[in-house]
Amino acid sequence: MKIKRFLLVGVSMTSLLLAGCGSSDSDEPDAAPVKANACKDATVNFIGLEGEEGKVELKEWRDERGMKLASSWPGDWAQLIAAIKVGQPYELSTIPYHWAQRMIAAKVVQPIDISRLENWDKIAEGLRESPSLRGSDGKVYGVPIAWGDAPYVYAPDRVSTPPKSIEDLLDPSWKGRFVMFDAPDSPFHLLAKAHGFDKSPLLTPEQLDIVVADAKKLVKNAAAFQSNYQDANDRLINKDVDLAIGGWEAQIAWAKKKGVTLDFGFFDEGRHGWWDGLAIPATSENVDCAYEYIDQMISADVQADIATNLVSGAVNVDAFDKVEGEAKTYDYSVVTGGANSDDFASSTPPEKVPDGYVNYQAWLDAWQKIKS
Amino acid sequence: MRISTRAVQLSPAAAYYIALFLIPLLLLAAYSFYSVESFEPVAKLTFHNYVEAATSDIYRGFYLRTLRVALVVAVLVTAISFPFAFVLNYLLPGRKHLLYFLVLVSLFGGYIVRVYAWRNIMGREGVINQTLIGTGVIDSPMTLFLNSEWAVVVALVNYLIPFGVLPIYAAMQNVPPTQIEAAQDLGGSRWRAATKVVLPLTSKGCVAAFAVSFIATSAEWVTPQLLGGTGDQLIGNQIQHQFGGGLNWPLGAALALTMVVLVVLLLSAAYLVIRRWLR
Repeated sequence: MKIKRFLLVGVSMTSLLLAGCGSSDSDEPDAAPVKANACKDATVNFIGLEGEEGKVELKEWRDERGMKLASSWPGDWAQLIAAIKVGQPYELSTIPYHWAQRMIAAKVVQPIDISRLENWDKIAEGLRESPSLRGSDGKVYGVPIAWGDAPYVYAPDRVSTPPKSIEDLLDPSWKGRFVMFDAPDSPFHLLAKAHGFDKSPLLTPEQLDIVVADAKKLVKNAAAFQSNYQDANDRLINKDVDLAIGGWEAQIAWAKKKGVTLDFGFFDEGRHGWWDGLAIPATSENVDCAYEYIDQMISADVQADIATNLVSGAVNVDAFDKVEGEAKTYDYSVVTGGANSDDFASSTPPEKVPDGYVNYQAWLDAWQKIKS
Repeated sequence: MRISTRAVQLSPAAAYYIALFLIPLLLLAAYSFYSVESFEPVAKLTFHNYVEAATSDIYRGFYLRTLRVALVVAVLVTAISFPFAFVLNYLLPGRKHLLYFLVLVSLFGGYIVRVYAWRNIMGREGVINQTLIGTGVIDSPMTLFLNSEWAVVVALVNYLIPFGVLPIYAAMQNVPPTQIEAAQDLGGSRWRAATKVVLPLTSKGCVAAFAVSFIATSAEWVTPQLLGGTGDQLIGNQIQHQFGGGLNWPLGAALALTMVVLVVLLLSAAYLVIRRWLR
């Protein structure tokens, strides 16, 4: 009898908790009229990557309005989605290109009315028109604030001939000499390009099998999975590896501070750029301020500061010449419709794909199988 | 209604375990029967997650690797901890409190710091390679130490030895030195006294050391991530992936609970074998 009562209490408490943790299945909010100076005395709750919330770059602007910025980073993208799903109010969140479609499909971000952003048209065309920031309804859900081109980073004193193709790394001579991220995004896409599958990231099941066969060799040759860019740099600086796939130009500067020379390069298969943006979570309690804040974040001067501080590419075309330091190394033709613009496309398939192709979940499943 | 004194005394501990152990476990169990829609767990109950956890080739590989690594780590921890505790308790009785304290001190260092320390020790330019090169054993650095299952095992054994020593050392407190002296007086060597007298009498401590090491390794995912190679991830990494990038909490919960069942079954079997062996 006691056991029954105990179990009953346990189950009841669990049910209550589950009810409390239930979905916030919020519908698309109605577009509210724009309020002038909506951020005055407001607190903007931001969830996402540190450094991409304008903490430094917009400090003066916030102070003028007496507003506060409260930032948090939950640990990974899935937790970010969970935090919004359980109903925590955030005015702004980071939306990264490789998670954008998942965040849109999970309904944690709301569509953005681009007519409310004065600086929208100043965003480089390659970014502004990217399908990766649009949902299946064609609406924009993220506003890019930074971008990069994902080079590989290597130690020139140990790599006299940098690889031209990602397939070079399948050679046994590269065994144990490089690290990579634990994700199929970049390797699958680049290997698909190497095989001439030009529609990548749209791949047929047969094409995916071919890519997976190569990816198995690649993973087997890799020394380890890097946790993040800093981890890759530590391994490069300690001479434990000679190259890191999926790098960032900022790594060169970090290594330089430690007296180590690193360099970066690109595979012939392409650069497959990335962008990080700002989105308005479904739980935002001050949408007007969110719009005002985002508009400031993509203004020319702020963009130049953000790009300089993050060592990333600026998104506002008027900011390109104002960028300073290491961030000057970016080739802006990638996002302005130049010769390399094809390189700047999403490297992952969408959640819903045309008939005959595999979606991102199929990529993730194949990746897990490779590792098992 | 009168509340007994015992109930009042038990209530803080009971509340603690209910809030931080029982309810999370029940939540995990509940989630494991959920489905996923739009990357969100929904209360459409299904056994699919358990079917996938039990039948998928992907997870079978991770389970087998995890159990193998856990077994190796648990055996090594127990095998190292027993003689260590024996020496501590019977051969160096005058310094046992100091040495015991030193064992505990090793737990003060942060876990992640230790893992990174191992990276420096086992790396291409690390202590092991430098020593081997310095002594002329090898000409150029070897890369087989870091980014391997071996590295994961070494780091975990190093981390878990204090947890192995503690229960065995505690069990030895109930075996007076006079019993060892009696065994030696009857002609037994120190080795025989240790294996035929002390070991059976401290078997519960040994089983506890084995179980703690096995369980801790079964749940590991940080050490394989930082010290293992691309083929050395454990089921913990998969569970972490399902709760993270995979956005499939129900499958993650089913994988976790399946592992719990496997661990309980294997530990029960190990317990019976060890008890019979030491009888």
